[in-house]
Amino acid sequence: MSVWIARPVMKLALAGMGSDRCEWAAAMHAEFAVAQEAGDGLSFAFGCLTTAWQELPRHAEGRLALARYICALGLILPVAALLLAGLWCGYPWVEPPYAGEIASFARMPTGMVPTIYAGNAAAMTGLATLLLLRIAGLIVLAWFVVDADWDRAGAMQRAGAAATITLTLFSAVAFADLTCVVLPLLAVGAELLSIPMLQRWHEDGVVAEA
Amino acid sequence: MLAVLAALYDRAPQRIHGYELMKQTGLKSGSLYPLLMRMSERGLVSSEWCEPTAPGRPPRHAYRLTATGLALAREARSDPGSFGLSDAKA
Repeated sequence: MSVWIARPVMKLALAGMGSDRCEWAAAMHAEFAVAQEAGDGLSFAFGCLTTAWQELPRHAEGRLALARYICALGLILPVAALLLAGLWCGYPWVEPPYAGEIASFARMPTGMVPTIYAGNAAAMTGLATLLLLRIAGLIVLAWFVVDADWDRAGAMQRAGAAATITLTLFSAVAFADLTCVVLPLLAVGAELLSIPMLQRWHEDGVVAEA
Repeated sequence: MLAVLAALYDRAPQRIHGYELMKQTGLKSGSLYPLLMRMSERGLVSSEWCEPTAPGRPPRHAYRLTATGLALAREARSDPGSFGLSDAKA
């Protein structure tokens, strides 16, 4: 049983060692075979994984990988979770007290209280579906960022921005209230600022290494 | 690091494989490999690929102390106090 866990852990460890530590990765891999025969494979593999993670900030490739993981796990996925929580709570309908708070945070006019009636209630399903697609897009975007696939990440960002603009326009028409698009707009802003910066840093790092 | 220095010094001039070094020092791979990397970067340890002993096995890395590493290990053994080892067995 432990062999089935040890092997993927060891693979993860070796993948995290980076190209300038490839000799050490090969050395660990050779000793892993010996450790497995001695019944120590799992603890050896976890030790190697710890080493790989400890070594990440010590080399340029590792720092870039770390930055990509931080961007994906610390920014993109929390934004997706926030939007999902909004959807769970009844988006695009925002309860008036919360709508007021969001509006005051975004310095938007708070005079009009949004109401739901037969006409705009039909739009809610479509808008909620669009937001769900946007959340799915963010999860895919996180994967592309971790994978450093900047072309696909860029395409996903453009699709996300287009979805948010559509949300904004339709929300304005259906509810005469833009508080429900404040969070999606902030998400697009954070994305558009952070990911191109990370991409530029990544490309500069790759050029410097070459 | 002193445990690794001592284990390599005891085996000098022979080389020792990573897993054996783990067993000899009692260190886990998560402690041993970062130490070996630092020691190698500081020129205390040299490594060499050894031919596999059985067919189908990958070549293994073996380690030994360099002249600088040997001098440091000798110093640590003769004056354990300066290395914070006054209570340790010489």
